[in-house]
Amino acid sequence: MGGRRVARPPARRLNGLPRQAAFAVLLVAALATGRAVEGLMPVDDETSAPFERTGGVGDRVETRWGDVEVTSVAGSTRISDPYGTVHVTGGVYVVVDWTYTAAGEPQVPAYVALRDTEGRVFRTSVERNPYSSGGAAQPGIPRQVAAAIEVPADAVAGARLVVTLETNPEDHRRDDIAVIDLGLTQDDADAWAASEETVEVAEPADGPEAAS
Amino acid sequence: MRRPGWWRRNRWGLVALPVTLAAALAASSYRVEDYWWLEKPRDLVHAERGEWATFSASQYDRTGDVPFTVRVRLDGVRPAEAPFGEDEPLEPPDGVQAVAVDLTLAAPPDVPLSGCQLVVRDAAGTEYAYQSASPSISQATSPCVPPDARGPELDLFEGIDPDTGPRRPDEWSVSPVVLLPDGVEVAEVLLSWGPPEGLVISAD
Repeated sequence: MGGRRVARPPARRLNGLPRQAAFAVLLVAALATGRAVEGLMPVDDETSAPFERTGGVGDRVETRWGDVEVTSVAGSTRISDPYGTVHVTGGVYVVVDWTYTAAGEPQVPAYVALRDTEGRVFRTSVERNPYSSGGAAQPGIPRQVAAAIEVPADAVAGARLVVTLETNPEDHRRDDIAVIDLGLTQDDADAWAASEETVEVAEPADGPEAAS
Repeated sequence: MRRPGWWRRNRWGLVALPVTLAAALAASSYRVEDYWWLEKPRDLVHAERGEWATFSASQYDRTGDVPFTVRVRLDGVRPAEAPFGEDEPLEPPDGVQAVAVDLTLAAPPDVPLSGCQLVVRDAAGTEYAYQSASPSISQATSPCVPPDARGPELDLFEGIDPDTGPRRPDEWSVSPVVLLPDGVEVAEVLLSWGPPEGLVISAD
């Protein structure tokens, strides 16, 4: 009081705004830009996508955890599972015989599914879609396995077999999955949808493919 | 008076920066233990074939931690004639060899030891596990104890006596069988009663 006022230096200004307000505006703008970029680009899908290793029937598809080779594909409306139980479908059973060779350590390819051209996924299950891995396969020893999957007839043409270790699709992110084009056509779908021949689903076995 | 320089004004922040970075890394690596350290035996005791190794580790059950000490000697690795603890003939498929891992173990008979995993490794580090049931072999569930005198089990279930079988000898030999592709040479045998501890024995 009564003292002389000391002149304060004027606040530094940036574009007419006080420095702190400018900083806040820049910060919010940067966050909003990041959010917008993330929303516009498939960042989540891309960064967490599995690595698809692709091939066709008879190709040895190499992955981080082993090799997958589809040896034959059959189909019908009737299958006989390894316990002898017969299953009948109004759609089509696609029966895939394939060989799996683990790499590095004993591993189980627990996730086996068919993916159709629309992206629909049909998985093996305990009861109606029989598949048995036979447990972990020792590295370097081929394990022959078979999977039968029930699909609608319109899913057959162009269907791909998808194989990987983790049963939960969430856990496929950034890991290898084998995707094998089964080379199926609409003719196969029609023939199999009309077939009543029982296709046997083989038990798992070790060793090179047996002469059949 | 000159204003102090940027480095001087921010000296405490600069001192704190490496500490903060280290703390942030530590805080965000809380899964390393579960997903890496406890995933496989990594805290390894090394031994040589033909010599006794003393291995101490811990298991746990309803009663809490169950520390134990066992002495182990790898006597050799040889072509197997029969599955471990089974009379069934051994018929490995084409391209597959069966090797028996001859081990002698010693521990007091009241120590639960049946819950062990046995893995053999080749020189490149590829691992082949003891499997009691697979499409090509069926043998005793535990590779480390005599199949007919396993000794006590861990006390896992209320109301079930964990020690009912015949008394396990003070020293015993086992010959678990591991299936390998033809041509693979066993370089190491790895025994574990639960990660992270393990005993790795050179087979050379």
